[in-house]
Amino acid sequence: MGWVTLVESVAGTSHHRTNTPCQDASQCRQFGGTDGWLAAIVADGAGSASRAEVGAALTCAVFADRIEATPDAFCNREGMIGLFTDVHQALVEEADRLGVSPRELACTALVAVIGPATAVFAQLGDGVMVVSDGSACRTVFWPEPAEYANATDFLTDEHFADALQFVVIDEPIPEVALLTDGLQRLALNFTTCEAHAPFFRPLFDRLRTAADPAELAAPFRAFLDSPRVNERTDDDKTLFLAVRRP
Amino acid sequence: MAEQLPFADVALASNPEPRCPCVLLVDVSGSMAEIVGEAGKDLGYTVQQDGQTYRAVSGGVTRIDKVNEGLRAYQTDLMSDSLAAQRVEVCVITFGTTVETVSPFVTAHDFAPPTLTANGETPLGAAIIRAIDAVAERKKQYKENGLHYYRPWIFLVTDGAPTDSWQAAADRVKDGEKNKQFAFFSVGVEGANFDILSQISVRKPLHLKGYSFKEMFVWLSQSQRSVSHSNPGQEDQVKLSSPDGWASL
Repeated sequence: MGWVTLVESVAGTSHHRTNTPCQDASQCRQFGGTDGWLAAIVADGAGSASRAEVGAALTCAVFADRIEATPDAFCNREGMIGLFTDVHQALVEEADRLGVSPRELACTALVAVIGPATAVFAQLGDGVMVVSDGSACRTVFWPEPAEYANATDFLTDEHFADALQFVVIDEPIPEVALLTDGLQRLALNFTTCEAHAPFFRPLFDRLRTAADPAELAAPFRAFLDSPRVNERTDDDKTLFLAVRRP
Repeated sequence: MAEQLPFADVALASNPEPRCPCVLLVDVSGSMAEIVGEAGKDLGYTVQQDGQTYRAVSGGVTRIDKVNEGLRAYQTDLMSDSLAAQRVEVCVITFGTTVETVSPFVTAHDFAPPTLTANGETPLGAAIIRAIDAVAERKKQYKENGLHYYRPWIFLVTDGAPTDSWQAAADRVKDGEKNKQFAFFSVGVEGANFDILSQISVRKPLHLKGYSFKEMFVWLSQSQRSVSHSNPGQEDQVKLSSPDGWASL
């Protein structure tokens, strides 16, 4: 069957109050047939950036197009840094076209490229990626915060390459989740520094066993915008899930 | 209703909220006992207090009464915001006869506004150092307990001139601001020495309009609420509403 995916971005309740759009974006592509590849990108626009939603959408689009065109080119650190540099440049050029400073398109980026036997992950800024072998869940990079809770790195920063995290995992990965920082405190356990398995397992299991995954879209959105989630965070929330089904 | 069931068993992790610490550094020197309204009967003699001469009266509303009213308004406003009530932490340090930590750091919903009384001189230098050390100590506790936090604020309110040496305090403020260790704000009440305040504070000291302490404290609460709601990337650009309701610029 290949990869089955579910993704939703919900504007944070703070945005309802100020009437600003959701500043998270995501893209995913599948290629190479049933036993093939999945590329997933999630970007979180900086709350203080006036065109953040433009930056996040552009980031996801450029990553998705380039990875789908030549996935092998990004399976090593140099190739991935090169790709991030190209996306950084695209943001700078778009800012110039719009007549604003690049900071107005600032966003973070989570990038996952998963093949049959190997996977590559790259991250700039906050948010978290979680992988699972079907039972245990683990974070790809543990989110180390900057000293202050409201500071992070952005793709538009001049020295973004210094903050880029990259890893290759040479094993099949059947389940993956990408989430923006609005959900971090609900999905991670900060005392043990681990993914909170009781958050991810039901999500992966539902996606794995659903007869018609498309029917999960509405309840998934309802969950992300539910009172029990919104009382813990007023930030934008994006959750991307993918499960490889035989 | 069946649509709700697929994700009802997704369990949310419980983690402590990030902290937004604020030190209220309040002048309780003798001059804060000055009557500013509803003055009672003139008792026919004068008193020396904190370097000034005052006519004694039988009663009235004093500057410190207004501060106390402001502290209660501060707490009420914070409590109206459930996320801020969990995140904002308040510490009250006063300076008059001594420098006293009247109320050590607690989260807003556990903060009981103290009733301050005015007496003594103005050891502003020692008070600032106490506040800066309190912030550093609190950060150390956060790190030991795995808590995340926003950049701490120190909010100074004074109506006089320091009666102790303050140069070391001024150096600590400059250093702290430069290294983004905290944000230091100062408000001078009528009679404050703004020249000295400008040498201590990197940010321009604000001049309280009349005795609008209540408006000032509500502004402070709303500013703290904005910080506590802010998300990554907003560290330098949290939008604070203008203080022109209570400060003349």
